[in-house]
Amino acid sequence: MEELIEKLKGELIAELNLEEVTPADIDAEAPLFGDGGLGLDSIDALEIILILERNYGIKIENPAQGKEIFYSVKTLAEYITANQKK
Amino acid sequence: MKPVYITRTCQIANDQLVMDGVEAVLDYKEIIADPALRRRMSRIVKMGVACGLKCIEELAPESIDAIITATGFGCLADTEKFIESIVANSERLLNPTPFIQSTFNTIGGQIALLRGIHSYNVTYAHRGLSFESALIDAAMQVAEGKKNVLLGAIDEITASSADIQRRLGMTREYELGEGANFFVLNATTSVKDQPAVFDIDTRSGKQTEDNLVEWIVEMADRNNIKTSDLWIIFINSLSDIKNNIKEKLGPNNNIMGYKSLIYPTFTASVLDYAINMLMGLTKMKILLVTEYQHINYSLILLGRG
Repeated sequence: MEELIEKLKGELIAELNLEEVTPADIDAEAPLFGDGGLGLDSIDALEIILILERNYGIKIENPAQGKEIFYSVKTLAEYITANQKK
Repeated sequence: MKPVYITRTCQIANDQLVMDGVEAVLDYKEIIADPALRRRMSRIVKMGVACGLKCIEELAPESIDAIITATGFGCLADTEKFIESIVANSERLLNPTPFIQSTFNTIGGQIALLRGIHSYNVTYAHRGLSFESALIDAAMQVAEGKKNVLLGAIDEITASSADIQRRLGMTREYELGEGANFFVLNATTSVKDQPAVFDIDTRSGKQTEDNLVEWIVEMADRNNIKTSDLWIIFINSLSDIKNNIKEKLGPNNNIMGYKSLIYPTFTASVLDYAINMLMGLTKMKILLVTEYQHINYSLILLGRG
């Protein structure tokens, strides 16, 4: 899980152009969206959906689950571990 | 045409910011404070938005009646990224950011959003006459009574576009370049001897030396100026034929050539150069004679109001 969390942090930094952020700056349990975390927005959510589909073969079938899955890097990693196809 | 006063100029090229002819500190983090916005911006978007924002930094948003931008190639890097992604992902799963940022009106739109400007906002993408078209529109807006019209031009070069232009033979006579130039235009000014555009005209299709002479005389006549009283600057490849045209135009010692880096909206940087040159001329007017790839030509008459 730790390895996947670090990989995800790298992918988020690269895909979302988080130029001023290093993996060490990202708290795996902090919220990705809104205040108190990375402050991502709806366009970033679309980019994360693409990371899941392209890199892990995961398609989120139920949009209502999005809020839970995308809460933090840790929740993303847990969802990937439970559903990974690639 | 009524004179259009240029009350502010701003240029970003080669990572240098020049405002009203004076070099200033270029700090993108200070100009575009929101890191979330900045991280999505490609080089040209950052250059264009920063240049436009600096140009209107002293103006209240409600005092800006129009934003008119020009770009020949648009935001090339984002367009390339988007197209590459279409190919690489078999037309599926495309990243939204390069698509959003690749549109031609990205820069004009971002400036308006960042400063909360709700006025007229138009982008011209007319190849080598993009900037001239925007300038004509800006002059018409000013003539209709609009104040503080922000006029800008932006184009960038990427490795692949440079390669394509080289292979098409478009670089034989020119050196490729890029840049962002913005101007604030007004119908009146409180400053004495403020630079102003007095006339502009464009032509498409190859122009012979005789066509150019006839065109220059026509513009001088309609502005009641003798061609011998003008500083005439022939830009890029036209500078190579300036002596032939000089003979045909009659006596005039104030003819010069100027070679600029070439990109579709390079005329904006030439206008900036001419405005600086005007500062050293008290009474004379300058006529810029420009061409782009022997297809698009323009005459811009400017002087001090």
